[in-house]
Amino acid sequence: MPYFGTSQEWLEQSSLLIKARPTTTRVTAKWTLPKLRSSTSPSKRQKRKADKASNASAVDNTSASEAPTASSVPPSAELTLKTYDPASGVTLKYRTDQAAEVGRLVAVMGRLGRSMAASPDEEIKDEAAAAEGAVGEQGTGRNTPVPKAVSGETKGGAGQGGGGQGGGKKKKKGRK
Amino acid sequence: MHLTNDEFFTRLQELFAKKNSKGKGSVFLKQKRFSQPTGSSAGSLADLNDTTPTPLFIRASAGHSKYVTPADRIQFGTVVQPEDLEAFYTRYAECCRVGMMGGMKKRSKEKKKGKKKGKGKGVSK
Repeated sequence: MPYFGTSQEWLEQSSLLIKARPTTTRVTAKWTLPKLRSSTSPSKRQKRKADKASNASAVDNTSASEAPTASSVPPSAELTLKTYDPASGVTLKYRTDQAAEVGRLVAVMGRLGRSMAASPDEEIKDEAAAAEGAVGEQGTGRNTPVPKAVSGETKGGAGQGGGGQGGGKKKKKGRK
Repeated sequence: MHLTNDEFFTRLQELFAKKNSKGKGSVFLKQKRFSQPTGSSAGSLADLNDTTPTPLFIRASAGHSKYVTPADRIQFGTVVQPEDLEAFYTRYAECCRVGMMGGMKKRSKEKKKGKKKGKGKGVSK
């Protein structure tokens, strides 16, 4: 299953899925802290590579075999969000490694949770916000954020290509 | 295992601390509607008409690795009432933010500055 490029896209699709199947849909967040590979205990693959290199050159050049392990950047932890509905088999995923996004994504999970729990207040709020957003877009063409999450999205998504949208809107402004 | 909301947060904090100190591993956080399954509505779309607020079930689990024996798997959950959702999620977000901070990438200011400069050039043209 492919991953969504932006969390906003994931949120929109997930909320639609939850609205369609509120009882069966579940949202899972997976936080993975990968194992750090230290130079003192290289992996089997690295060991094999090192052995091959030393055999091929037939010269015990330790610096050559150590170079790739030293240059490898430690992998960062990841947060993967998944919305899954077993009844229809739909899976929606989003993945990030940015620490700044964590708080916002959990808040997004809260929004989904509220629609999952069929809390009536949230639905009214959502509709009101959507109506406001539609008016704002049609009337002024300004980058008026619909929910709170959108404003964070444009800021946070800058590093992942989300900034391209903001840039486009800014350009339009300049032309006017 | 069902816990109260407070107990859930203390257990979750412990779990994150444990994983962070270990330096590897995964934590799964799952949320779904807490409802008793009924035979008649299963598979149908009857739930769409049901607008009464239902509680949510939140579960945290760890130890899904093949190297962990089933007895050592950690799993605990809590039921959140619809009226407590707001308070629960503010605390949940804070707990996750602190717990997941370890190992994740932080914003680099240098990259951002460079991008802003690039954008400015594009607009001026």
